[in-house]
Amino acid sequence: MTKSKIQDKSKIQNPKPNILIFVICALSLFCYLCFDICHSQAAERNLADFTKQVMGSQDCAQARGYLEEIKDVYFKENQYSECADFIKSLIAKKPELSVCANYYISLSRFNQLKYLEQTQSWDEYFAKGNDYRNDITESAQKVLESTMAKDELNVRTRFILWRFHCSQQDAFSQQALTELMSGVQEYSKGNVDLSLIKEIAGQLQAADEKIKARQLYKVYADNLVISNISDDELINAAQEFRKEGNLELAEAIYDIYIERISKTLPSGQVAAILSGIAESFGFAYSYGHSLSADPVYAEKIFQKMDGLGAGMDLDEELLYQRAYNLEKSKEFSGAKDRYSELLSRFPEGVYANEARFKVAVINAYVLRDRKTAKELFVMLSENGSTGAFQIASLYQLGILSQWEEDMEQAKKYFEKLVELAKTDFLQTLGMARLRLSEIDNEKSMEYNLKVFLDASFKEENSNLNMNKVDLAVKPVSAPLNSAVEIGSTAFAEQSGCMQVQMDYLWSGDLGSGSASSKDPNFSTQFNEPGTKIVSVVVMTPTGIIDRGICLIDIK
Amino acid sequence: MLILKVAHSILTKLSTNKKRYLPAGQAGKVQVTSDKNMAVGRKHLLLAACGLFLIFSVLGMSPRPQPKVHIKKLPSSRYQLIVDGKPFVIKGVCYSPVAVGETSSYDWWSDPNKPWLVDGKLMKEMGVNTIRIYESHENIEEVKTVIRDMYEKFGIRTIIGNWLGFWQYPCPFYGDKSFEDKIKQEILDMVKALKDEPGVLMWVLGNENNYSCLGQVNAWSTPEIDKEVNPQKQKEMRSKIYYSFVNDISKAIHAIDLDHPVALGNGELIGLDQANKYCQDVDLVACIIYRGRTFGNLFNSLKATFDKPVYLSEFGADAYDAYLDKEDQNMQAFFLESQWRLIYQNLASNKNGTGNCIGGTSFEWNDEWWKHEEGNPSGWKEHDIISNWSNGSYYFDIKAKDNKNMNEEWFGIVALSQELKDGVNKRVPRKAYYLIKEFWKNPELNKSKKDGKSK
Repeated sequence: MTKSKIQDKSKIQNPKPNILIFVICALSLFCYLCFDICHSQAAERNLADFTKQVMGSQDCAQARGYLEEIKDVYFKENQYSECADFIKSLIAKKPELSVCANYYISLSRFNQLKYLEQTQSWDEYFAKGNDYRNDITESAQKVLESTMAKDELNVRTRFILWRFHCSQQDAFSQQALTELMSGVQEYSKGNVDLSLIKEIAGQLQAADEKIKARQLYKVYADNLVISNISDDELINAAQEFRKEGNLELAEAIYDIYIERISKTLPSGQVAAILSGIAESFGFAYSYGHSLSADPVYAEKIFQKMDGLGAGMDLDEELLYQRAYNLEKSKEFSGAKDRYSELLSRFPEGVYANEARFKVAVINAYVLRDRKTAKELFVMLSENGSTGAFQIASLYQLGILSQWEEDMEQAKKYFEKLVELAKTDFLQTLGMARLRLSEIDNEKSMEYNLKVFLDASFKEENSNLNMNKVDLAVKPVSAPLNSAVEIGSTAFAEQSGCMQVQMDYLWSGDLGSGSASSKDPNFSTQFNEPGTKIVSVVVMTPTGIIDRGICLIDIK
Repeated sequence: MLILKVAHSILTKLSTNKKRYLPAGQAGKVQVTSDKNMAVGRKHLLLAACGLFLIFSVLGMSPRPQPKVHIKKLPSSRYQLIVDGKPFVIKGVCYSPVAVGETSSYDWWSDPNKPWLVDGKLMKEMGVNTIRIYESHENIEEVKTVIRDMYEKFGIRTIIGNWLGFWQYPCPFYGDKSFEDKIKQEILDMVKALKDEPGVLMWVLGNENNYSCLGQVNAWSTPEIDKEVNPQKQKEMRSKIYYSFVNDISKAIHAIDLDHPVALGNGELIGLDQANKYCQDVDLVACIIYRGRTFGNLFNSLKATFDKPVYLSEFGADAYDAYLDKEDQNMQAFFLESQWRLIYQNLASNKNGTGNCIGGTSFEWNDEWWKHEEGNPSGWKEHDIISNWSNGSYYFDIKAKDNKNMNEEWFGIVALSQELKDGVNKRVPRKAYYLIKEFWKNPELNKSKKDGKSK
């Protein structure tokens, strides 16, 4: 039997699977067609119903709801052009509805242009783009001419125009924004649809118009208060917005809530509520509840507590959190003050070693005060416990002495570290051994580390104040052996088409990851506990841009 | 005009002298009579002046006509470029016809196949009225030939630039008298040689040289700057030296050529606050700007910092999608159309814009295949697809590896083919060529709300 005959026979012997597949396909196709037909028919029926209702409407106010439904039917299928054409046909039959119909024409064309750009449907974009742009502005203009600034349709139209000019990035976007803002202010004096204000504020926030967004969130929050909402409802609303990730709005409402309770409740009670709010915006609480942290807002609330004279009443945990928030948001000077306060009020507390270590690090590398830093590191290294902070302090004392070319002292610190660390702090131990080998072989210190220390302590580098390099860590606190992402952003001078080659000189506790000088980011893990110091110096062929440090807590 | 001015000044002098001799206390009264007498005298003098003007005109001693090319200032800091008495919008391209397989040092001026004749024809069909050349050439006769050919055969004018020694090795020594004198002399020699060419439109001094004042590209210094410890002050010192130098050249050009404006080439608006102090003798700013589909607040910002007209001397988009790794002519066309719309919105003729823009030369006419790895001659024959730099404003392909999305070898609105036609690489116009051609024929601008009124 030839091969082909065998194949033919196999086909005849097993016809069932093929038939089955065919039947399944046919059925699927049939179902899909039925669903599609039903769906289309339902949509058409809806459209016909809505159209009938529109035609029967006496005025725009009555027709708006149905036009909104018509818009939804078309927009759902991305049929923006069809929507605009359909509504144009309605105006022809019922000119008294032209104001609201023009709003929908403008909206449809705006969405259409956006859709064409997103889907890169260039033929239509290039051929009809100008017509659509004209439709947007002309239709919008007709609405604005026929409505008052306090009318909802007027604000919505200004909103379209601002988004349109903003998306075109043309000469009119600033003017459109000014007019939108004044429109909303006018509109908010009357009967307000708060969701519209929230939507506009959200879009402003997304367009990086943060100040304007905050103004509108304030308008939103003020309107909530006017509606005689209770304190509990107010706080619930704030928490809901927080969960949605809308920090700006949540904070605007909290501000109003705080203002309200400050007038009615005794200061002790207000302070207690404030501490709860401050805590909830801090890193620890936010991470634990999967919310976005805002340490700046938390500090603002802590400062309100200071104003009430309640700052000194913060317990150890809350005071630590206040310092921690400041440290993680790179407010190092404020963090140093809070950690110092923590040390003076709770010298034997659970956070004492960590606080002392961080105060020493900030003194050394941020404030360039090596003397104070060394005193604190010495205190930690001699406190009798063989913990992460003692080991880390010995290492810091070692490198500071090595940089000061006091090799004998440096060697003593490193040797003590090697003796105490044994096998518990392998990463720090490895670094200490490298430094020892440099000293023993009379080699200079590792290049990147030396550059960082030069940049931190040499007089001629006093202008390198860490304001041109930002180090970001995610997460700011991590368990042992878990991934930590570290990234740096250098704010270099503009150079046009001439790209400046940047080198990232990473040093400090780099963990098990490998940081390349060509890469502004790297990923790593730490296999020992403690506060890890990562530092970087960003260089260009013409010199140092700046330096940066960050602290990562491994627990 | 000059005679009328003289007559007017005599009259003013007479009137002030009369007033001076009036006795105290009678001034008001006598003034009326005196004014009447003055009006009669003025009439006679004006008539005499007009007579003289006519006589001098007939004798061929008419006053100097308007410069061939000049900038007219309109109310509210709006500006118009006037060429041969008529408003002129620069619809141009940057021009550097480096052949495939050649590099930046390629001497296209002496190419016997005259690539500019191929390009000029295509440009004319598109509607281009200006080319921008970055620097003249040592053989000035060849330069004249190109300018003449472009103007006489295609009606295209030429903007001629000078790098101000920016790419010389070692770095430019602005602040060094001998270096500055040498550059200045080179430029003045060029101006003297070319100023009478009817095709010349203007001179551009420098390109993105201002970035060197910030100290990170082509850095230069002087002993005084080295002594200064404050980096901000160092930048200001460099800016003062650089812009004063440009100003000095500009003044020297004006002294020998009254017919063409002088532009300050500048990367973005960086340093223009300093230019405002030290470089007032330039006529306009030639701005190099890559901000994606738009120029942002450039026109308004310029008005606030350095109130001069602006011509966009470099802008554009590449035609290669670094993310999808393929040519994308639509992407380039999209950005260019949007950029040209913005230019037109801000011309003096559009009442809704800022009115301080006089046109642009997009970067660039043709692709240049040598740009990636210039030091590697084998690459000059390859149309490299490796991106050289990153710019987030060109958002379609910003997700490319390391965000490098700008492909320097793909900026032409005309692609080059390795195939030769009459000794010149065949030109293949891209979509942007056709789209901008249509736009220039009918520049549709969406209207602003200023056109109507809201209640």
